[in-house]
Amino acid sequence: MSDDVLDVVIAGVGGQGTITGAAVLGRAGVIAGYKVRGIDNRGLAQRGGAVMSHVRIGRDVNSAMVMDGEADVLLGFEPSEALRRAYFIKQGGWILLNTKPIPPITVTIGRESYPDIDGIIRTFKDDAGARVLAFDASELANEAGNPITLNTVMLGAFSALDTLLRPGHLEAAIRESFRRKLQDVNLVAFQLGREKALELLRSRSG
Amino acid sequence: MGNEAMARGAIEAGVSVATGYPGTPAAEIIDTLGRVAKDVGMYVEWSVNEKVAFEIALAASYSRVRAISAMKHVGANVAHDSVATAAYMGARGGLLLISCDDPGSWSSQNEQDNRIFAMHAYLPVIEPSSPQEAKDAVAYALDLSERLGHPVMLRSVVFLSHATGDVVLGPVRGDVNKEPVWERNVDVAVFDARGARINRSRLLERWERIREAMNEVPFNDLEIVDASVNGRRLGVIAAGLAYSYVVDALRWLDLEDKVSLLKLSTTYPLPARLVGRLLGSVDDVLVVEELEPFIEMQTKALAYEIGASAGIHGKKYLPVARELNPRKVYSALAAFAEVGGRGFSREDALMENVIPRRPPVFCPGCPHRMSFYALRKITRSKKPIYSGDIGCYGLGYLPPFEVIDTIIAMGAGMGLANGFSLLFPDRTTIAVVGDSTFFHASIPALVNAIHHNRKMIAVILDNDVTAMTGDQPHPGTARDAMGNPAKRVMIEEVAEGAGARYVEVVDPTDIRRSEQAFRKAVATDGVSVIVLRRPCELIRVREKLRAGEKLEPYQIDLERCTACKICYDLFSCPAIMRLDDGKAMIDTDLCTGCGDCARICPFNAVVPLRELEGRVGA
Repeated sequence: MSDDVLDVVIAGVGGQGTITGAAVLGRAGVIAGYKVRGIDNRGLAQRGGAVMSHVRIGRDVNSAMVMDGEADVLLGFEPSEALRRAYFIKQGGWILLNTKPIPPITVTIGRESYPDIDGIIRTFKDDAGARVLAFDASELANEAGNPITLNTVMLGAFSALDTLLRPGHLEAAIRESFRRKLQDVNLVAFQLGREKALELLRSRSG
Repeated sequence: MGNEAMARGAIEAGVSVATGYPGTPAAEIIDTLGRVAKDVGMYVEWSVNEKVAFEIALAASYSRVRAISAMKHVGANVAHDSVATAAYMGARGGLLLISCDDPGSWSSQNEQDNRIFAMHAYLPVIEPSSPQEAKDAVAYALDLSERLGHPVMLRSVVFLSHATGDVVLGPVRGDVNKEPVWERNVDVAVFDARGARINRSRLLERWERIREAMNEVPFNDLEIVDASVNGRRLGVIAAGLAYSYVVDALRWLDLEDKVSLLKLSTTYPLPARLVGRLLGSVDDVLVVEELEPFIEMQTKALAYEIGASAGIHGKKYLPVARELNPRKVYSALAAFAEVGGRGFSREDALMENVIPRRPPVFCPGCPHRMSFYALRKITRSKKPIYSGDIGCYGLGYLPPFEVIDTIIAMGAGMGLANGFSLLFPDRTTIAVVGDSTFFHASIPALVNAIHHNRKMIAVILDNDVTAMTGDQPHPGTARDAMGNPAKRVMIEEVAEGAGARYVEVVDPTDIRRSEQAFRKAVATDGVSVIVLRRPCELIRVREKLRAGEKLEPYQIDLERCTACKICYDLFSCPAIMRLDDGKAMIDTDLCTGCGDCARICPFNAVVPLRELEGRVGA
């Protein structure tokens, strides 16, 4: 609710690496010299359930939870999960959306239906009043060489936005967060996400 | 993480013994300590259940060394029998019970408020407001416990235990006794009628000193402002984690310097002088606390006692059920102060979007999937009553298996099965219990069933660890919390020793054998115990990757696939997707290569990816 706080909500499916993504983002906040608060709902994270993390970075943050309608950025690792948490985004906030769906079991066995991706994006723009960058981040993670780098692809895209954090803070956080073996592939993924978002931003303004 | 911060607090405070039973949201406290136990000279144990865990800590305290016991809120129920008398006995070495409550029931069967548990057991309660304070409070509470000669409860909640944040570490205390001392004293340690009466009086005397000490606890903070809002002088009591929401919300509402604020960390017994001073300075007070109106009730009683006339509010503005969050606190403060604030109609409209539910599912390769697949197949015609229990396998109540009928509490699966088999002797009663749950609280119920000659089947799903909470060891695991080798207690030997009529151990991958075992159990007159044994797939995968090996995923041979739907409708591995024409496809990023779907596919259409690629290449 103020300019000197960065509120981020991450929405995804257990196993997508949302919690690690949130941890890297928080670490970047510490590296940048801010106070950091965060929360993960982890209970069923590993069992394909819906998961969400909040990260709050700023000079003076107290609550670890973002208030409804106050997130500056929503990182949607999965389209329907991003829609589930859309009520957190503030008017004019950014939603970065991975367009690759992971249908839940209720859809696979035909009991419920999966929402149309274009419809989700329209909801984000028209009903939530958010700005949207949508792209297949899972594909970029594969391109980077490992599907588990989805979280760093998303962080790379995030780094293209104008926030309290500079790309260098995030890259340093990636180096600190991953074992040497995984650093390079994550930094490649970060660049791929960043370039994709910059390209989408250019086409928005063009 | 809040739990890691608490673990650090225990290290800084010179704790000698740390015990617990894994339960979300408490598990990472003991997990963290177990990993560093050898380096910091601490004994760390995952005990068979919370009662034994607490009793080990109690013995340590009695022997003049410091101890903590960490558990989830409902876990404390299991320990309650001993906890309820521990306050009579008092503490020698600092003794801290960490209870992690779960407002919102994110991973629990209820949202009981363990501050009321503490009241019942005469435990003073400290509630930290941030990860930093959680660390500091653990160390402080152990000092306080030792100084007052009384056990203390630290109450965390899920969104503190799982909160992350920057924490400044403190030094590790070097002046704490680590040598256990045995001093027999039946006056304080034998609770016959005489001991109970003597110690009851001592407890009540001690309690007066504890009441007084609460006023000095540094995590409480009272700020009185000389201001009014809409003509009323307002005060807020913000307890534990709720303080973090209150501070932000007051700023957002521009009320920062206009409302008196008591940051309250000692929520039982209340620091009467601080609360009294606030009550004397304001016209109205709002108590912001999660779950029950625990502080609200105490504050009302105190106000009556001291003749304060301030209006005391709480649950009039805030819900009793579920966790608090910034929005609930912001809205409550706006209404209490009558200052308007922002609305949430746009957010409420966004919540109305129809989104498919995403219930958690068994992981790809999970042995429980095979167990339930076979169980349902064999027993469906019998319409059995399945009483389930707490663990990953509890997900068996959800689609697609939908075979679990009850989940109440740890060990209740076997206990309820005792009841159902009594009430419905002509139906098949099946208790579905995990390995850790079996040891934790199911053995007495199994013994009861055998003793009373019930006809029931106990299916024990043995995946070698307490998987739900993060692979902690249990008595059937060959290592302990510190990574040392430990003696495995075999479930089948316990069952045989207790006199079960039919005992069988089967690998659930061997679907033919498990079907045979179920058939035989259904025909057995008496108690059958079938142990379905296969390690948690997450461990197998982790070990394989750690050894530098690659997983070898399977794929569907679309020429053989007949779109029979079995693999995604009935078996339902999350790695198996349905194609538009009804045939199946495997997401090879998710597939662990367990091969179970290849075993159940009636058309042999599931083959190793390598083989399929080889064929295409040729």
